[in-house]
Amino acid sequence: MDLIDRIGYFLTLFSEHLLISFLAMFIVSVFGVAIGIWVFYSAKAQRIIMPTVNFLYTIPSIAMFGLLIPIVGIGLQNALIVLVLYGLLPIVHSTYSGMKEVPYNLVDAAKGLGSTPLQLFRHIYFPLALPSILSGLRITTVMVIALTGLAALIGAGGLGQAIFRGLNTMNTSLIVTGSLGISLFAILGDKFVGTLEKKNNLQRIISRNALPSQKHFIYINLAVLAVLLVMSLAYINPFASAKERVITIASKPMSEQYILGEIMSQLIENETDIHVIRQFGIGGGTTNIHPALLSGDLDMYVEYTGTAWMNVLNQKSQLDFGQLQQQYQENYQLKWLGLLGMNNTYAIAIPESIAAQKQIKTYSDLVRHSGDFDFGAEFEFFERADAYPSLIKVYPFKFAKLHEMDISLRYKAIEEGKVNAIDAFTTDAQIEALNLQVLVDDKHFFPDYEAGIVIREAILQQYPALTKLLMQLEGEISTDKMRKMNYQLEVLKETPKAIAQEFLATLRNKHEQ
Amino acid sequence: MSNKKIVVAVNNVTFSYDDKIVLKDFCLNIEAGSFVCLTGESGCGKSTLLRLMNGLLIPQQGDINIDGKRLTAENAIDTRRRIGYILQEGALFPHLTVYQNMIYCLTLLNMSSEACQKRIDELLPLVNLSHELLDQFPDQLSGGQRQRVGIIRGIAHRPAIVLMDEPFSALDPETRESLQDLVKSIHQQTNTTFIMVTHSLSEAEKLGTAIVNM
Repeated sequence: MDLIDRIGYFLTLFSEHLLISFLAMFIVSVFGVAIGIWVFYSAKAQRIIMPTVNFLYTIPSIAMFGLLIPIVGIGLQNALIVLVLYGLLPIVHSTYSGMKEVPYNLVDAAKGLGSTPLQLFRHIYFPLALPSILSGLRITTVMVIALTGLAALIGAGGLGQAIFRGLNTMNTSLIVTGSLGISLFAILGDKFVGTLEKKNNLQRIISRNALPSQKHFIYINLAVLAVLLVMSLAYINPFASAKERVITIASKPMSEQYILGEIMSQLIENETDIHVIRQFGIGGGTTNIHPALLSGDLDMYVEYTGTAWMNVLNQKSQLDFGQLQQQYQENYQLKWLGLLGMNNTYAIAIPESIAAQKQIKTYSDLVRHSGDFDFGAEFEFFERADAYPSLIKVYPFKFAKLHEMDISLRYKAIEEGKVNAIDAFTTDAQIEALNLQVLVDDKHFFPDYEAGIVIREAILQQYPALTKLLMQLEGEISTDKMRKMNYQLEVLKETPKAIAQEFLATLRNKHEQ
Repeated sequence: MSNKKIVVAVNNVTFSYDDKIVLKDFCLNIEAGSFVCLTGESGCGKSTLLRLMNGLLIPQQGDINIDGKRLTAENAIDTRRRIGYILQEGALFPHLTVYQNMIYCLTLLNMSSEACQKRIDELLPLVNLSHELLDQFPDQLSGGQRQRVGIIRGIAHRPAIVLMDEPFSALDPETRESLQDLVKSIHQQTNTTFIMVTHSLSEAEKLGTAIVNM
């Protein structure tokens, strides 16, 4: 990616990150402080709210994003709810304890001098609890900014997207830049809240005894924040897409999916006036993308026939493609446009050297030697009924050790010798790069995973030209071609954008000839 | 005694915290313009009595009349605004300036800023404080200065009754004496009724026109 593109990419991510974190912080501050005050005044509320808030905090954040998907779908709404629920705990606690720790003699004095309950709150409790509230706010700010990094998993954007894209496509510089961006952002957020805390600035402003210099300092800080927010809003312009002709394209968090998503996006952008929103790298893949298609949050993505049969339609065996198209149409009003030509099925791969030494060629060979192997695979592989649990019924592997890891780390693990057998996909670039041998599935356990475009019928009715346009891709991307493009991305570090451009240019030439 | 107006009448008051009875069928009449000192052992109920007089506590039995009107939970706030309240070490609000502390009761009564300023100008010489201190915060003052500010806060709104809860107990002997003199002179100059809780009998004898040993 050239520098300008990359800067543009990061500006978008930064803008998204700022807006999401700010919006979450705004809601958290208002609700958190209000709940903290409520809890302080009402013993009943305290008994219910405090355990609830504490409990929410114990749910792993990554699980909470997932739990909310069936309810609110993917995207901004989901991210905001999670961020707000997490941020509540420190703010509610710090507000409550700040109010509780206001010295009794001051409360006694204010009451004894004739303050009404409201005056007591405004003049005494709130200003005196403010230092505690602000220290809670500081903690929450850092936490929310960091947690916003996970929002990319559910398609809400932000700097986390760079990290996940980097992890999924083996691009270290993206991971580092995304991480540093979030750290820097968290430090700035902390500093910003710190300015309110410093020298009791905010307390003195609301107590109406701030020095002019204190007021100016705070106003300048607020103005800088406001300018940044307006600039971010203008930069990503979330309202523009509401009016325009628009389509949202999703991808799973895998190298080839970024490339395929980019190919479809560019094809549509080049040939039509439809505005494309890219929601690439959705965490959880099909599990989260398919429901989002049904709810209309997403419009299209590349799916694999095997996954569609087993995980979406819950069938044990695969029928032909025509049946698949029909069932998708009847059950979900989704259309399978043609197949792209590649079959990205599961495979088990081991280092070539070991394969040669032990004479292992097939899965059945591996069964006999399985006690010598540490097997690594992604969480989904162990979880999916059609993957590991069924696999060991057909091939009774007894691996020495099983390692569950993120999908992006398998090759790293085998390269470093932490495992010596992994599950792989037939289009993986690393198979070639790391001298691995894909073993032969001699009992034909793994079904076909042929890639095809799944799109909402409603979108095809809205933009009829898309059918013909996207059908241009039918049969054009073979397993070899895909592996080659994955190699360009993961090993040669080309960007999905550049790879897609090159592919489409070749495709155009072919059509013109 | 009989020809003077009774400003505080405590009639058969019983008050207990949970199971512990602090006051039982307690009666006391306080005349206008007097300086009543409440003394006694700790736990005898002298501070409780003071807090019953401004409605911070409500008796379980009996009643308290202020200026002939029965004090209830409903009229407690209005009553307090007509009573001054001076606490140990001043109990100044740390986030407010000296000036803001002094005019606290005046702001509760929505008095204009000019009127507030005028009243403080009047009072400053009385307690021997300089204008320079007005923009400072309580933690920048000495203990004696803080209590002087507390005294202004307690009398700025010209209350007819001033309640004081061990106001000088945390001060060194010299400062304590000068503040006792100050309060005594304020009492003599104004027609205000003072009711002070103190554990020091000598202080009570020095200041009080009447001493109630509880």
